[in-house]
This record gives sequence, structure tokens and C-alpha cells, in this order.
Amino acid sequence: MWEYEKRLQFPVKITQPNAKIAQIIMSQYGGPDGEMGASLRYLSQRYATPFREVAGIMTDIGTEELAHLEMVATIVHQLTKNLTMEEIEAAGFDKYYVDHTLGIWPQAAGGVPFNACEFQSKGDVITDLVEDMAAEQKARTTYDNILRMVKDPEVCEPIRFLRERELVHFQRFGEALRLTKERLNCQNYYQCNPGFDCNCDN
Amino acid sequence: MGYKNMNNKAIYPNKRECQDLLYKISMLDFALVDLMLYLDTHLDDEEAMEYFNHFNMNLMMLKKEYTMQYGPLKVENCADNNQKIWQWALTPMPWEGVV
Repeated sequence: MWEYEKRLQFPVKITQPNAKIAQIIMSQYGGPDGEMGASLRYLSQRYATPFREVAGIMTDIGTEELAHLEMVATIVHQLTKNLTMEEIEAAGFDKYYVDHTLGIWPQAAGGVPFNACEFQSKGDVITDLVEDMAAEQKARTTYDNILRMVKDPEVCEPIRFLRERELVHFQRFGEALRLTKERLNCQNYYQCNPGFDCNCDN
Repeated sequence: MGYKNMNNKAIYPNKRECQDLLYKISMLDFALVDLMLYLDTHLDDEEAMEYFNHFNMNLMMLKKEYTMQYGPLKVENCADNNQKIWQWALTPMPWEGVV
């Protein structure tokens, strides 16, 4: 179950449209390390962990990623608002415009559409948590790359907020991995999959 | 242009004051989100739980104040400020950059 709160997690107020930057930042909406993949990854993985704290952290981080998805969409929306046809063509935004006008659609900066293969839900809690830690680092690197290209402070501030959250999430998934291993056989963590094997004593 | 103004009932709150209050709410809520994730992996940290309760009480008061003055942030608060019109659909959407 979810409830909607009619506000952003962090304010986004961009006054200067810029279609070129919009096309780059769009990758964090529906690209390989974007917020859509992040939210769906954790919210899908959580069913396969028998440990409540781990299911809890996946639920709570997955929920925060939905708020980040809304922030990224807002940045792209405000960066493309009130553009003229000339500005769209000059910025190279025409290839997006022809299919989506100024609507928000999940794709990578290079135009590759969002695909569920950008994340895994392996049904094994150690495998999933290690993926989650890597995912947070990949998203952090993407935000670092965006910050090297974007100079407008109205865009940089929410992007910096999102980047910092990747670090916190990485830390929490690391702790969830430690909690998981404490509940498994320390001689061999891979002796069983607690999400599948009935004889797994946990 | 070619269509009727569908937003003629839209509510635009006093920007500055509304924004200040919303920023305070955002700051407190952010502290709570961060504490929640910390507590998810530090179950017996009583000090963190005290912080959580402290911020949560302040946040609830600010949200109530916001709802009374500028309309509901959540649908459950729609009836809280005695309006004759369904404000949930008329207050700004978050991506408009209005507040």
C-alpha cells in the first residue's frame, strides 16, 4: 500500500529551460542506473528475503526512490517547459520531441528505452543486496557525471541532494548485508538460500 | 488557445509564506526519512528513536498548520479546513514549481 503526499522530497524550481541538459538528466529517470530501475529493483526484491529488517530497508529505500523518480521527472519537465521549436531543434531535442512532444517517458540519455533487464531480482538475498550496493554506486557515478556537465545552480542543488542519498542508501544496504550474514552459517554463507531452501536454519 | 481554461478553479496560495512553511516541512520530513533508514538497521538505538519522536511531533504540528492555511498535503486531510470545494484536485501539483 502507498499514500501520495502532494509535495517533492526536495524543492525543484528551475527558471531557465535547457533541452540539452534535460536530455542528459532524463537518464536518471529511465536509464540503466536511473530511479525507475532503482525503485522497481528494491520493491521487487523484498519478497524473497525472510529477514524482516532487510525487507523493511528494501521497502523504505524503494519508497524513497519513488520520490526521487518524481524529482527527476520534475527537473526534466521544468527544463523543457515553454521551449520554442527553434530551441528544441538547436538543442538536438527533436528526436525525443517527435515521439513524446514534451511528455515524460523513461529512456536513457542515448534514447534506449527503459527495460526491466537493467535490474535483477534473483530470489537470493545476498545476491540481491550485493547488486543493490553496486546500483547505488552506479547511480552516484551518474550524478557525478551530470554535475560535471551542469552549471545552473537551480539544477545542481536537487541533483546534489539525489547524489548524497545514493551514499546513504549504499551504507544502509551494506548494513543489511551484514545483518543477513549474521543470520547465516558463518563457515559458509552460501550453504543455502534462505529465500528457497527449506532446510536453511534461520 | 483552442481549449477552455480547465484550471479556472486552481488554487494559487500566497507563494512566499506557503513556500517557507513547506520548506520547514520538507526539512523535518527529510530528517525523519533519514532516521527511519538508520533505525531500520540499528533497531535498539534509543537516542535515535527519541530524535524520531521529537521531529515527528514537530512535523505533525507544521503539517496541520499547512493544511489549515494552504490545503491538504494528503487526501486524508481534505476535510480538515472546512472548505466547500474539493481542494485536493485544485492545489498545485509538485512539479509546477509554484510552491
